[in-house]
Amino acid sequence: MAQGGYVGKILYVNLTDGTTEIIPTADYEQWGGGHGIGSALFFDRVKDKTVDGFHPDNLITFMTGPMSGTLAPSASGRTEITGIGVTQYPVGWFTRSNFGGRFAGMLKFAGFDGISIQGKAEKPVWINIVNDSVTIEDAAGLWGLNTHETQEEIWDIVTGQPDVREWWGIGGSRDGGRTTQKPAVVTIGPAGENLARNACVLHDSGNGGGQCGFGAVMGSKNLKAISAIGTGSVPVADPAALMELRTEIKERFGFNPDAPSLETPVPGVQLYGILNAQPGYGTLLWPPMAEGAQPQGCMGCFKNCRMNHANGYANGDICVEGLYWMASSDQNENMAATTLLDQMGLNVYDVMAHSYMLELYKQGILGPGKEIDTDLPFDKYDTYEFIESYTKAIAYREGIGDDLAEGITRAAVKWGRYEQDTATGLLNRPQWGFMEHYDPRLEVEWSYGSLFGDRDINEHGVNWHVHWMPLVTAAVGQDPLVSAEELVNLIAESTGVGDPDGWDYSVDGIYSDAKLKAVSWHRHYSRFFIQSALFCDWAWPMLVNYNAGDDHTGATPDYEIRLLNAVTGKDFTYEQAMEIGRRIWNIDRAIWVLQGRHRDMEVFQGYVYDVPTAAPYFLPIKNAEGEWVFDINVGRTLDRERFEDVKSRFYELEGWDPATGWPTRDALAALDLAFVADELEADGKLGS
Amino acid sequence: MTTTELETPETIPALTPPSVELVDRALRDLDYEDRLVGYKMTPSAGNDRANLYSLPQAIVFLLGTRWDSPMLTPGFKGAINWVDLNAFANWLRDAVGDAPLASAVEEHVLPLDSYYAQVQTLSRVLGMRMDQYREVRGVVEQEADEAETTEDAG
Ligand code: SF4
Repeated sequence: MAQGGYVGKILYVNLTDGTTEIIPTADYEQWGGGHGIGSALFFDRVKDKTVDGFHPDNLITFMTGPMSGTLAPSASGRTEITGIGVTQYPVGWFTRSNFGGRFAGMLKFAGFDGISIQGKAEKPVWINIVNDSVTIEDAAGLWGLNTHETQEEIWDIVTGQPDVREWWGIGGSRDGGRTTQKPAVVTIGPAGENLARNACVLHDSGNGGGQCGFGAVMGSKNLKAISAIGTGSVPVADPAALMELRTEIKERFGFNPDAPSLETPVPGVQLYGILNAQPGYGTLLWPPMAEGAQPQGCMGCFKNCRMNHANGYANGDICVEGLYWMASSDQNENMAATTLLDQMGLNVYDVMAHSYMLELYKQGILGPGKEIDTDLPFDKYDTYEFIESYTKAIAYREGIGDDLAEGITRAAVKWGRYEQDTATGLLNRPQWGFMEHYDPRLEVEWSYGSLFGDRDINEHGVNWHVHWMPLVTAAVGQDPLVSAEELVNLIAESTGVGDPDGWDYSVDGIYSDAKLKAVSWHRHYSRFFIQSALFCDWAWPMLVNYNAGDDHTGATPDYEIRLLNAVTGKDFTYEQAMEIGRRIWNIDRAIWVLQGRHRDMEVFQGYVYDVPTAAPYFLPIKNAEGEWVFDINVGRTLDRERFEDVKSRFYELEGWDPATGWPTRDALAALDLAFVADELEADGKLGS
Repeated sequence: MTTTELETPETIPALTPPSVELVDRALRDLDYEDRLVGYKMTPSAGNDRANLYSLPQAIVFLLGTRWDSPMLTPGFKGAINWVDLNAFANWLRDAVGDAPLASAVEEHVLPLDSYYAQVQTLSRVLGMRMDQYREVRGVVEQEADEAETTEDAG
């Protein structure tokens, strides 16, 4: 079979001396793409892995995957970023972020599988990629613009016309090709320029790579934006097979608007889309349809989980940015706040800490002349005036915004509140300074994975089924679509883990060996399929299907592998792909160890152990009678001692030293990572 | 398409009209200690704690900004905004200070099976009570306006 998927070149840019280099993708193809290639490039090219995220030697990558730019469903439009982050606390680990849209595809159409960037430009620059041509341009005219203005300006510069709607010629030559497309631009806003640790990168209207502060890392390199436009295409080894798979997946697992097999029992319950994938369900901002909104999606995706809104606000904002600030009774103001956040280039997960600050204000701790002195108008918290001044204060580091631009965790440390407020949960940052996402006391493949890794994992593939399915159905007064027992059996089967106890969230279940195998599966699956092959996390893995009547069999793992093979022409098996995931997870672990990671650091903040859960939180548990039920799991905490035992057993499972958490030579050698073991040994950090 | 039959009460008897004092007290901003804690449950952020410092804020949280489109329907966000409705009834009585409203919630809302049915009925109970609040306020404002007009005339 023909070979396909990759376009053959990775661009390396040294901003310090303004040189570029082409790295053959073939040298790194063994890592799959995306994150795997980013980790391998980092390991090879960053000699001192303890450098700070703001150091010029920090290497950041924007990588695509083999299916980017193809018609592989929900696997074509994501871009993975890697490098040392600046948001995490106390250490900015080597980490990742990811965004959707059309940047990945456009980069490949221009001839590149990815970009790696090192160094620091003397003055602000942007990278201009037009087909094979790469130039580093002066960004003096862009510095200071917000993210939307920057993109519009670059579109004008590259296309030479202020309003691209017609065909235009690329690169000024007949051979360049013609297109109707605008360049795909990823940029930073004022927050990134001002090195706010919570700065994101933004692409198009609302695709943000938010977590870990890569906007600030770009800012520290004096890199305002990267633009890519190309007229090439991505080779697909077996196009007919790919199209057949796409149609099959859409018909079997997708939502059919003409004849839906599953519809919300209560009309208009948008959250039901978690189960039936109705288009547009992903957005958290749901203006009345009468005001106008239409589904929108990333390149090549049939799910189109996003929305564009007739009021012009918050277009494409699918995720938590839609929750940024919702204190106004005017929905337009809430949506305008999200747009402002995008334009300033801030990561909502960190800056939505205004609600924590409001609690401090209400307690008399924060405010004008108070212990934490600020004149931000918390007395007008529900007005747009408040959120505008708060957001801009951070982006421009004005007043208390200078503290907040260090990230809320570092700000709380500076204010002397961190220990106290993470002990009570007032500041719910369970690990590495990240906001609590799913409950760390209950949904432990999320929290264990985050703590043993580098950031909030933000992987929903299991969560949709174990948590949201029973929650949404209960909320609308419906029985679960699948019983707890059938659910855990389906997941055990489709993941290949085999033991349903891996999805037992009971008081004992969260410490079991079976659970640790499920956690391990999750790490390896995500590192390869989601973060390297770049299947979208909002669609994959498809562990359970609710759109085909009584047949609840999911698409995973069969369809991921068939798609990969149809595009690349390779002969991947699921087991091999999972081994690549394990390999990537281990090279990452080695980088964290070189950065100073030790078992002693892998502890949650106090509230996780000491403050019981208060709200219902649906998850399957195996009860004392051995029956599977969905429980609401109120009043739960994580037990310190039992969690310490979890650590020892998890480390052993991964081939890491239980005393230190450091990988051993044997485990690394088995993954063909002896060169990694050598570097750990030279640094005195090889596990035994 | 399957539909959910909501077991909700057909009629909810009108509550005794509130006094001006009760309305003023019930609509005030509360101190930190008197707040009601709810949770906003969303796919991208999990359970996010929400502190509610007044009855109007709690109503917006639970029911959205349109009386005809309570939680979970178009016009509101893709979130389940959850409050322990037992605690809500207690809060209405103890912190907000509207005992008749608290009793109505206990009688008509709490016995219902699903959270969805509870919130739908809650919107009717609260809507009815807010109409009464508005009526009381309206009378007061009208009296104030008349007083002002009389002064101007003088
Ligand atoms: S599911 Fe949504 S976020 Fe994922 S690729 Fe499709 S449109 Fe983009």
